[in-house]
Amino acid sequence: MTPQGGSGLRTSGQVAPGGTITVDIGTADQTIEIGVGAGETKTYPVGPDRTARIPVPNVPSGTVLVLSCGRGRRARIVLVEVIAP
Amino acid sequence: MRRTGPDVNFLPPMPHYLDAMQPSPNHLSLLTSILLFGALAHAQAPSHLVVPAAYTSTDAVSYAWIAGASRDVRQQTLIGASHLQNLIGHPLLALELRRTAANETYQGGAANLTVVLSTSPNEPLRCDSEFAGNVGQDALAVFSGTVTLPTSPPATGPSVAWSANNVVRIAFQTPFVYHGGTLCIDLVGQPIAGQNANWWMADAEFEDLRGTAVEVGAGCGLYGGPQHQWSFTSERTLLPGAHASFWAYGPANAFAIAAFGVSSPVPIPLQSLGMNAPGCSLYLQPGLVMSTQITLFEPELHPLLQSRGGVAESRLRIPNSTGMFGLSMTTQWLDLSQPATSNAIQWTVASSMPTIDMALVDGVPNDPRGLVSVHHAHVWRIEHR
Repeated sequence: MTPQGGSGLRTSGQVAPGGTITVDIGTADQTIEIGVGAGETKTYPVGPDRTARIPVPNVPSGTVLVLSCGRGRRARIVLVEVIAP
Repeated sequence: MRRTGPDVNFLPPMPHYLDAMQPSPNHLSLLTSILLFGALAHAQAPSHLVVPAAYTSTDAVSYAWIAGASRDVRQQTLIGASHLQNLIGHPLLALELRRTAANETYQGGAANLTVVLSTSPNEPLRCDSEFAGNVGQDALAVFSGTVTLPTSPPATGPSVAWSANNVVRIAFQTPFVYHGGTLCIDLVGQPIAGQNANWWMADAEFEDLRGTAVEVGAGCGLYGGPQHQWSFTSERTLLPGAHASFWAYGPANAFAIAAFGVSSPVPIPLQSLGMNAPGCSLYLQPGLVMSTQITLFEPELHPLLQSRGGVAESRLRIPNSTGMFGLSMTTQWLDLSQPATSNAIQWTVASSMPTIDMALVDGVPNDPRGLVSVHHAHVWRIEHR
């Protein structure tokens, strides 16, 4: 999975369990959300440096996490794959 | 009155070797022409104003993307009159955005942009989330066409030059004369296939203000994981003059109620209010609910977000008054379909006013509304005559 950016968000694309996802946010959003499981979403603030640091949730290796900013047509997403340590 | 000899006598005697350098009538004419041309050229030469001025040569703390660089985006910037006093009566000729300082090369590209300038009826701290509400009656399309995002080599700052490699320049096809008031810069950008600049971040100011938010009780129901945390706010929106943002997740297309009021010192079980919702509690005092809003959990449009359910959203415009400093309320959501109550959030407005005197509304071209920021906005360079 390659780093993205065209959506206004970018990450390293892959992360190990127990690690931290670092996301750069180019959009104007003040929070970023991560889907953890069905119906469960967590929200993290975005500071002046426009970088959010998100703990990797407890999911199996191979899981693709969806991070997003905004909603509706403003929704922008970036994907991160959890890889084996 | 014509000046005569005696005045010349005040000058010291001129050495003879300088006689040859004395201007002849022809020389005088040429000299006058050069001086006149120089003065005119100076009068005609464009000048520049950077907003905010503190970042004329120094990189600001933050960044923001540019409409059209990689996605369809509409960005409206309101610039308060305090930044623009020197421009009153002057024609504005071009706008520039400078890259933010970063130790990386920004790959270039191109975007289609339309730019409309106007005198907004709203000061930045009264910014409307509806784009149309910020556009003034003197709206003028100053540019429509393709702009270049140059490939920009690393610029580590703190100083970043307004050089061609560092700048996205929008040279107006029609000048806009600024007559005072809040300037509204309305950009609608569309990417050009094959020419996306996927990470070309423009310098931006960011005022580090925020309110506070504290959870005062757990939710119930099918959403929010084991903690049933399915209601959220953004502390950065809890500012005087901002649009406070509250949202919650639930079953798509079900009705939701957002309630704003005073926290209850003890949880009130919904069953005691006659609702069959075991384990669900109200954290607001029933007699002190000041406002409610009924809305839908709207289905997410992006396929990868649909597993999250629907999203209900409520925005509360906070007046830009010192009377709002430290104002505290509690918000809780009720999902009418399950039924279920959310985690409750007690939130407090920041005790200082945003001072950047700018606002940014970020959205997409076909949406009437965008996301308002009154503490985060691009650094602009305005070319004028």
